[in-house]
Amino acid sequence: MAQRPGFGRQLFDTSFFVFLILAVGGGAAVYWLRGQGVFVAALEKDLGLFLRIAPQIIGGMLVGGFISVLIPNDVVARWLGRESGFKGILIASVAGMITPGGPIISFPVIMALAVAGADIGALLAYLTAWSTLGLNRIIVWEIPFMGFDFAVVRFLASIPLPFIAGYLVRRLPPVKFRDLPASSDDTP
Amino acid sequence: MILSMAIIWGLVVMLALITYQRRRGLFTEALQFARKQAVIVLPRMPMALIAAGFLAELMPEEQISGWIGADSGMLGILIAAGLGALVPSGPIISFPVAIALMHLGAGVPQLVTFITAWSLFGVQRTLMWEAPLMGWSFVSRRMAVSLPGPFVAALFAAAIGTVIQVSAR
Repeated sequence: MAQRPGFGRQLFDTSFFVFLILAVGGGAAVYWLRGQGVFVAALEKDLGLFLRIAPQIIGGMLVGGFISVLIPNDVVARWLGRESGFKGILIASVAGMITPGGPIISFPVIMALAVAGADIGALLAYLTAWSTLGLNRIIVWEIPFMGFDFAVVRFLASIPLPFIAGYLVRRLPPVKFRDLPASSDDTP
Repeated sequence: MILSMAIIWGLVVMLALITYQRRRGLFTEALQFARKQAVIVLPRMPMALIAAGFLAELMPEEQISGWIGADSGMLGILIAAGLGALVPSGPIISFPVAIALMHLGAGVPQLVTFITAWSLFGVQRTLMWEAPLMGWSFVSRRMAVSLPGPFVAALFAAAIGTVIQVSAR
């Protein structure tokens, strides 16, 4: 039975074949230019790396799955609401940090917040925190690939970024959102 | 390696118990969420790793480590930021490339810059998600205020590096 995987993506789409071509082409070039020894050594090293990383990636995806069913997105939206100032940016940063899943979750959340009238500084803080401090990606990708120490250093070094983005964007002319549905006045 | 494995699977067990207690249907939903991602990622990952590994073999090692090595300073950080912004895809490409750069001797601040630049300026995410949903008015402002990001992160990473000794894996 050919069941389509979710998120509108298929198992064997263009990106799959791009990866395949890169791997085969890279391998052929190494074999040709550097010889069989280097080719085999590189292949063994990368397959070993895959075997060590794969169980952690599977675990990370399960974590993402559980968090996505445990924290409803509307709760996140309510916390961010119309706050502004330091508090709004702080809350937005933490929310971005813990939002699970990929862009398929974070961008709908940002959209919902914009419609609800969230401050642009908070939106940018959320997006910046999600992309640079997102725990989901750190757990699924960064720790397995780069190691725990590196992930911690990069995380600490990135903590200022949502605040810088949030405060800077407040000094720019306001964004014109197109196609925003008129938000009903649901403020209490 | 063992530590990160323990952290991740410890989290899995904890969250599984919480989810199972709350409602059984949620448990199935969570598994489906994970399965949908895994089906996409797992077949691509070995190929991405192998491709990045082969490409690293083909790169002039000394030149690269000269460009973005631990002693490459500000210029290395600029180059790393440019490389990161150019990675056209998601984590399935960027992290294998980061590992390859690490093996080529890239410094920690330079690697931090690379990952931060990719996180902030990744082309694919902007074109697929941000521009259609939020409009270019939003995108251009976000790009403008994100410009300092990779450099600020590099600065802090270098500062942290002077306090504690960090070596990438």
